[in-house]
Amino acid sequence: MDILKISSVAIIGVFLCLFFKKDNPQYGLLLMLTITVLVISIGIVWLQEIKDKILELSVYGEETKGYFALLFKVIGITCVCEFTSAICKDAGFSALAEQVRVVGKLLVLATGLPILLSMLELIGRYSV
Amino acid sequence: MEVGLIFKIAAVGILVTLLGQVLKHSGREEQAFMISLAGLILVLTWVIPSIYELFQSIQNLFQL
Repeated sequence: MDILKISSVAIIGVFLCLFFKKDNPQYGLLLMLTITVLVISIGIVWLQEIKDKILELSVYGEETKGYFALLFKVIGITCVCEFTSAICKDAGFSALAEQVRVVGKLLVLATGLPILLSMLELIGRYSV
Repeated sequence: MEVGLIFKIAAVGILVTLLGQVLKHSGREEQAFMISLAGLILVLTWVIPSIYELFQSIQNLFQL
């Protein structure tokens, strides 16, 4: 049912935005921004359920809870980065969009590094 | 509220464009620009709270 709501809002929004393509495109972009925000806020409800279900998996150990927290942080960062870079690309500023994506990737790497290190340390402990 | 927000923004945009055209044809360029700026600021005051709300919910959800 939600997907119908999303697609109808998106289609109506696109046609409303086309009104403003010629004379002042700022309103078209602001309209597109509100529609994206609306679509994401509909999507976030499902993310909450997914997160609760995944967190149930973390009964196996204390450190997996930390890994899941990092995983969700990374998902949040990518979510926001994609949102911003898509809006910038829509407005025609693809350079800015690319920069936001690059910085997002660096941030994801920075947050994901502890997992990698602890995994390597785990492997090191058993391989010797 | 959001769907109403979408139609409100579209309405403000159309009104401002219309006014701008009328003012342009009657020779008052700068007033047209003023009207469009005022409309933009009005729409921004509606859009920014909804973006802030979205970022708050993302922050709470993902503990960023």
